[in-house]
Amino acid sequence: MISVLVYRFLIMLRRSLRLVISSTVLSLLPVIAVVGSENPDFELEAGNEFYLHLHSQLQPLVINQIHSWHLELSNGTGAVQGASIDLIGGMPEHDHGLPTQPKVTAEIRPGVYLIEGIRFHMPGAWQMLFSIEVNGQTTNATLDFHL
Amino acid sequence: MNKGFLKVGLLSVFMSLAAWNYFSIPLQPDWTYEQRQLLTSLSLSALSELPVDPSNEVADSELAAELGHRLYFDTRLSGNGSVSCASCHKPELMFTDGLPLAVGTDIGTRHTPSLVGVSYSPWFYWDGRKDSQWSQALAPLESSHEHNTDRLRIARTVAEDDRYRDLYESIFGSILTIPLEPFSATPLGNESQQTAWMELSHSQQKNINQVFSNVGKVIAAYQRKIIPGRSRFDEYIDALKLSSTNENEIYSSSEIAGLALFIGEAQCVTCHNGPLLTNNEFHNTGVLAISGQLPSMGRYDGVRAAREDPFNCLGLYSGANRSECIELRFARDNNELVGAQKTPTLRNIADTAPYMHGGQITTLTQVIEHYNEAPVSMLNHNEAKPLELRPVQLRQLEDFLLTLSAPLATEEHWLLPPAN
Repeated sequence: MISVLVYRFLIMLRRSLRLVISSTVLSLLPVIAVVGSENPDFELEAGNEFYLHLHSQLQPLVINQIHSWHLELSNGTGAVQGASIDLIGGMPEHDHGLPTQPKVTAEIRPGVYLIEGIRFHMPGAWQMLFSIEVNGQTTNATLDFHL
Repeated sequence: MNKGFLKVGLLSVFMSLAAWNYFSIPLQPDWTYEQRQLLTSLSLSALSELPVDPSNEVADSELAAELGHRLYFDTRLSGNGSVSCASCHKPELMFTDGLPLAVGTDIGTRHTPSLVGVSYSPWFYWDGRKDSQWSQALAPLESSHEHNTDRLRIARTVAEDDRYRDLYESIFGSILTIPLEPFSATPLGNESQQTAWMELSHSQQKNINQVFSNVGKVIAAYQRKIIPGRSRFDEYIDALKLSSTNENEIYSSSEIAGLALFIGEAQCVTCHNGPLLTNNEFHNTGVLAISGQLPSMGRYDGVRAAREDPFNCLGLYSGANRSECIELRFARDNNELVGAQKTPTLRNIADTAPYMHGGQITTLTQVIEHYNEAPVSMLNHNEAKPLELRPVQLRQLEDFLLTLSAPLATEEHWLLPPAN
């Protein structure tokens, strides 16, 4: 009974929130998180070691507006500083990339990284790929969502 | 008996073909929640305030718009005294010229794009080689086939005309001395103009560039007044949003079917989105090269030109600081952009023929057929895929596009030359 309720709650959550995040981390184990375009945040657990929290500075998240995201990187003991983070994105269905080249431009607080220059220019399924290097170990994460 | 059977068979085939081509599928009973959400985002009711242009300190100054209005219609801003901005961007043609290729002092190389709502765009020109409206306004003045004049003559015209000088000084402060000699000078002109430019002192060059860039800024302040007006399309969507019962009186069944195609099977909304029906981005849609020209490299070259432009957001004459030049700093430049041209607005599209960056396609009907076919691109790949729509659907799509026309929201006096 409880599992049915939990299942229904998750379905409701998914219907009410529009962004669906999936990731693959080193072992390629998928981790699913759900976020809303009204409050486009998501939490991600990466290999029982790292936690990612992505927060769009544009709320609600809409197309055709350039904006920034904050990426909070942490592990079991706290913020992870000094990571090297690259990202690319696009629409696999249309075989093209993002209209911009967003970059991590600063670590604005310990473990909080500023990603500038994000813009989406079409409604539909988007994908963003993050490559996070910490102490020589690389974590790749794929974010799938719909606008 | 066999002949009779054959006749019935042929008639059946004929009737089936006719039905396939010309009979429409019954409309869906109502728009879904997702479709309504999407439609709401396309109405002019969802259009935000004009975005600020931090690179143009006078973008929203009424005095600047007044001076810009005067300069926009002034044919003295051309080498032969007969060309103004309004010669190609004609207010009566939704700020286009009705020609395949622009004609200024000579025949140009690109089709004149509409200026309606273009102040919302972060990029200008078909290939996006300018990152602000004021910087864009400068280039035609010095182009040999457009105004065919130069920055020194432009600065001198402003400095020597009492009314212009007064307005200019009210906006920007005292105008600095503009040399009487040489007659003509610019770093972008012919050999003698370039030589004359090099012989000017650095401070003279800077003063001339300052006045020149300010001319662009006031023209941009005027162009920010050119805003689309509400069409039957907006009335339909807003009626829909209010759950009004009269939306079906606003649109015919063919127009509704066309709109359903626009946001659905025809995929137009993929690029023609938002209230201005453009994402202001760059796409390769397999349009043929302009007659007599090599295929255009499009945005691939445009973004590089924008980065090197001394009048860009990061340049000496920009009012913006580095952190405000986000579009320029994070513009992509990869091979996907080869052959990509800017998505135009579809507002008033029926009034702005011909179409595409070289005016290669004459009618709206032909444009729709082009996207239905999605031919192979001469350069790179066509992002659009064949739609395989039936003739009746193509007609419905065109019926819908015709509903996007409306008088501009701009006050009448801005659409006419200055009264005195």
